[in-house]
Amino acid sequence: MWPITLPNGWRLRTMDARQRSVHVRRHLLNAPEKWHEISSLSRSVLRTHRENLEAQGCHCGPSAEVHDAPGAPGHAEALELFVRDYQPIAFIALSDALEVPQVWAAFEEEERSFYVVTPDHLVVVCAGREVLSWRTAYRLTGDHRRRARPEIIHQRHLRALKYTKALARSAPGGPS
Amino acid sequence: MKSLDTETIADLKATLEDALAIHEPTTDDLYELATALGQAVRGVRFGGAAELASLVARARAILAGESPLVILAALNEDAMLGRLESELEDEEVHPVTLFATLIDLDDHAAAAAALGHPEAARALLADAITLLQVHAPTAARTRTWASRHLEARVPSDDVAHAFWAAAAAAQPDEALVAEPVLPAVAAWLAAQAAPAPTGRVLTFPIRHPTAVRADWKMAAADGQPALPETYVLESDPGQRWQLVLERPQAHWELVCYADPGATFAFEARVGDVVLEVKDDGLGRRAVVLVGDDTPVQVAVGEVVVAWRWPEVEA
Repeated sequence: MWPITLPNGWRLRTMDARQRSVHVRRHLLNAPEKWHEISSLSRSVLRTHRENLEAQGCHCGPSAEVHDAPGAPGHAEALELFVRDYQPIAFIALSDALEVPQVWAAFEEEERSFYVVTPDHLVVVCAGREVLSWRTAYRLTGDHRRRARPEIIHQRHLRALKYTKALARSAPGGPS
Repeated sequence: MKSLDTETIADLKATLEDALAIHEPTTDDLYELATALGQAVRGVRFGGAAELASLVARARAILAGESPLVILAALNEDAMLGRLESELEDEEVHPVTLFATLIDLDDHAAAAAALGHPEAARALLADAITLLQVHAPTAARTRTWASRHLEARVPSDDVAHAFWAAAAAAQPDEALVAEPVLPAVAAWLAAQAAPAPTGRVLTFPIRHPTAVRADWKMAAADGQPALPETYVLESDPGQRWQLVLERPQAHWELVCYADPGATFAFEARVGDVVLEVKDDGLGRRAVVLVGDDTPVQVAVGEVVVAWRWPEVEA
């Protein structure tokens, strides 16, 4: 498990404890991201969690914040989801991606960052100054395309990733 | 005259070949073909991509029997703009994701031009430019990439030139970060804390210091968007607790964190008043006012950390 050593030698640790609840609520429990497609939890189970947390003032989706409902038991529920689902999915995605250079890029400027996009539209972002922390994982949505097949959305994002690597390559601290 | 590099030409060629390889294409496949055609045509116009000509001709032949506006309708413009706006507003979004969205917009403009309807993309691009001006890309990296893309691929008379110029030039709105600062607090932080990650001294606007508030939030704006979310002031060598400055959104808070479920005593007080300590599932926390000149003391087990902020004016 953690820490992970990236192909360029950078060390990567898991998400900061105080960010876990908010990222579970902002992404795993954000219906448009359709985590049920890659999660062990069904759409209805995720919806039940979302409704339960929302009822306690722990916002879900884009409006979720670190300081929603301090002390609410919903945070413990969110942390359980982090351990059971959100973190394992991201960890496996990261581990698999390290074998495939086309799906990740590493950048180094004011801070280091490591970016992964998986075939099931999951983006995993890690960043830090020396040792990196897993910062977030979110699923790409194709809502701006009326009938695009999921693989098209993925292919487009991979092309953009490849292009940004090329654009950055000539710059100091470009991708490795 | 400028010309495309060989890697770019190879990419354009591969993308166009992929799009041409689809048999019985759907409208969305035709949209993909149109975007690939658009980028290739732009490449030919930019210079040095004559080898794309035969592929361009094949793509044009396929698209000739289709309705351009039906193909372009594969993009939901409202959703596209909503996506751009939310990504520009969200500091969490990585520059690659934002740049991919800019590329989607660019592809649409290139497709519209290649299909003979550049006007079909003008309104979308104009709205996107407005968004870029209002919500400047937070990452310098996005601006740098936009600048290089503009330089390396986009002819000056292209329908998307102004769009990329806006993305490359966008800067944070200085008016949003103008707040009075408190030199005494900045000096205290500079003396007490480890060097700021960016090598600059943190400065904080203080508006209404009060003796004790369990739910304190610092006024917005620090003017240093490159700083990380968390800035550790003190920490236990055993890593059981940390005293941190953190910026969950636009404001700063001074917070003590301790391990969830820890059995050691944890107390924070300002002067004689014991602060409320909450366990929010992430750890035990007491939120303490920055800038108060009353002594602040945090006790974790046997360890006591005390400090006094410099005197401040309300």
